[in-house]
Amino acid sequence: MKRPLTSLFAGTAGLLLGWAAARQVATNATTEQTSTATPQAASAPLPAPLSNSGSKSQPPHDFARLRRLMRDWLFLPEEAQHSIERMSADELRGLLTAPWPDGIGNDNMVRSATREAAARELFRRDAEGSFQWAEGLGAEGHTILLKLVKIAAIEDPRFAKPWVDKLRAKQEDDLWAASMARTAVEGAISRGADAVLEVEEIFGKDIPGFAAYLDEFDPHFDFGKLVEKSQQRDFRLEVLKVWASVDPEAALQRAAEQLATKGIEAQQLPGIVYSGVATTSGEAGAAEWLVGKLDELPQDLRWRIVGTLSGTEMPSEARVEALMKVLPTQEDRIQFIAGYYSPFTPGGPMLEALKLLGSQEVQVEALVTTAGRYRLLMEINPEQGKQAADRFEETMDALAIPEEKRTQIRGAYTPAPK
Amino acid sequence: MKLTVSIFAAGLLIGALAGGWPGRKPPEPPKTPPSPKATTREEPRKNKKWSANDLYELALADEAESPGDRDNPLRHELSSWTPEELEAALNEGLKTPGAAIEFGKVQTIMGHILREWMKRDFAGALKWFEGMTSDSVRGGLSVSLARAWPEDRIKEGFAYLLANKRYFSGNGSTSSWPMTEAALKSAAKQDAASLVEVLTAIRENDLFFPVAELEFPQGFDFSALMKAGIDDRMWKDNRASSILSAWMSRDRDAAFDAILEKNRHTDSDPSRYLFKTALPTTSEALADHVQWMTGKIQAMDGQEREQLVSKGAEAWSSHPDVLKAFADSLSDPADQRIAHEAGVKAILIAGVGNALYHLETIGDVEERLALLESMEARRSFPSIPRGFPESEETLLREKLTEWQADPKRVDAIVNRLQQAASRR
Repeated sequence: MKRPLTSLFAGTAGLLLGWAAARQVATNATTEQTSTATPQAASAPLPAPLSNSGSKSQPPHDFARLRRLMRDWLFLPEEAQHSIERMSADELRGLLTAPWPDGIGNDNMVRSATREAAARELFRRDAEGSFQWAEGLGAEGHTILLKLVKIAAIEDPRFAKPWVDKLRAKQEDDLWAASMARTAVEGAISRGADAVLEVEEIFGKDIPGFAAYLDEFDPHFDFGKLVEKSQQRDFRLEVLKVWASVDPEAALQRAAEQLATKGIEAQQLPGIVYSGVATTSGEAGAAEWLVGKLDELPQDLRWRIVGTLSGTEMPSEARVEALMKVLPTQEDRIQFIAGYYSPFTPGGPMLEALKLLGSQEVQVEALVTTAGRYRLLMEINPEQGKQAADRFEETMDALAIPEEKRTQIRGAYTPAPK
Repeated sequence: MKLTVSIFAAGLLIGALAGGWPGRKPPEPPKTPPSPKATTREEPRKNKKWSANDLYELALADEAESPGDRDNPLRHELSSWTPEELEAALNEGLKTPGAAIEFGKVQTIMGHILREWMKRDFAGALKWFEGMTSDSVRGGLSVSLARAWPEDRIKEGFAYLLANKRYFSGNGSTSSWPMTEAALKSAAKQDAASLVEVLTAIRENDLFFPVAELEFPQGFDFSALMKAGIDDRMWKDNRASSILSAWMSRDRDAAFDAILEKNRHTDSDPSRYLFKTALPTTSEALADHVQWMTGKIQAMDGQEREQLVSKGAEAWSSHPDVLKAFADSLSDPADQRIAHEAGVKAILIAGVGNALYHLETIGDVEERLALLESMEARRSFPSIPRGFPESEETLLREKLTEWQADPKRVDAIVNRLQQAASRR
């Protein structure tokens, strides 16, 4: 019985393997055709183009096509890109090493894009070989080597890391290594949250806190996972903001959960979500959206959120105007002002917010709430406390608060006698 | 074993054939229109195969286009798109994660599309821009709008900017600069009153002030512009250079007097602008300019005069020819000494070559060495690399030896420079 069973297994395995291999070949062929003729198929949610969709001579005109063609900020006609991908290794190396005709400077975009595409193609065919070749060119090959490291950081960060370390130990520095780590994150964004977390693990402390262009997201990107697990605080905030721009409800829910469980550490998250919503819906739209949520929140959480609606930044005039218009209760408006009013930066949008409170009585109430938050500062740092007190006076002047009502405000920030 | 291998191989073959290998037509991609390649399988598209030479030609053609056009790398790709396709692509961009990231790739591409659309359907593109719900994306794209604003509608563009300042919040609220620059250039070509009007509007609306190279018609009333258009803040922010350069080239005495008066009025350094205006380009005109400037300065009295000699020498210390002409024109030996000291002081900024060139204009070798020994060597810019390069040291030693300086004096001078160069 042993042989027939083995044979049956071998036959079945062969059958399945053969079928799978053939399907893969067929699928690759289909993908190639699809990507050449209908690039939007790769990202299904995109609408069909308005014209040319049935044209045999032109591919569809849509945003996805431009994103695909504009690689690393550089652009080449599609046929040129494809031709470079079909060139021999010698031709590719020639594009990188042979002198270009007179009159074409290093900043010429076609030249830059061509060299980038040639280096990418060499790397994709033989990563190790391309690096060895560039290194073997000596000083002349250094810029090519740097280009290859950048490409590797985008496409294969684990391969890139030893080269980053090697070059840092020679000619380059920590700043350059950090820029490669940032490039690796930007590349990983298009492969998903796990890929980004892997880059964090690979590059560790080299990843700078954070000024990356996070806009090449995989269509099914797991924002929640990254917000939860990333070790980079600024990065988490940036990703949360992008998440909020495409899925505000999920982002707010996560922010509220973290605010409830992590306390002050997560204090800025709702404001980040709000900023993300504003990036797509505008300030008025974001304010309307928020108001619909506020009544669902417990009072304490509600005010903590209202007091942090601009995240880490001072609110813009447009945000102040939109929020002061729609925040439903006087207490909401006061909490918003108290969250952002700073006696050290008098004037500006928050002074406008105070003016929008309507009555002087409410203005005083808002300033009393705000002033109470500076009592500790007055106590522990009298010098700064004095400056804050002076600025409060300027604000009271600007609002024409009468002397008899100023006493309450001064009393709110004055430390209790010992 | 052989039998097992044979059965496996047979299965592999049957499976491969069942799966469609080789040559079996692949299944149609789902939910997409039939691709040209798929429907014309027997007649594949004859795409051009690009060679290195084709790429060189493309690069040369790119180089031949105007810088304004070159700024949009997608212009050729987008030239065959209809306005409707451009609008649809912009709307797709808005829905893309990261659309609000300023200078990000999504927004950059959207900016290129908007610029192309403005060329084809200005009104339609502008309406779309205004109708965006996102203030931050609009702010980010506003620089593209400003750059693509038609050149024949500059006045209208500036009025649009004044009426819609809130749209131009991009790049830290500087994104309006192309429109402001165009308005300044256009007004300068008209008359002083027009330029005063634009400058006043910039000031009153707290707009970002761009660097603009202005051209003025003959008979332009610079004096009127100075009185009504250049306020103290603009003056102190050094934003009047191109105006004063033009004035200096037309009526240098009037410009000189106006500069000194404004510096006194604003409590500025008396040399502000005086040595920063564009210098004449021919050697004769340059010599004449320096001679004239020296005459003006020497006609002055007191501290202001001393300051101008010192500042003039410092400002021109990196132009040895100009400094030499300046030093030669000064009649007072004390003033000449100030000029020479400035020339030598710049040794770590303008290089040993410049300093030696200046020193050799002094006939007395002992005086040259004394200047080197007494100079206060300093590095003005932290960006200049630390250290005194070996090539510079060699050059200095060679020249000092040629002057027959004592080797100990040579070492002392070089050591002083090395110490100064290593300081931050």
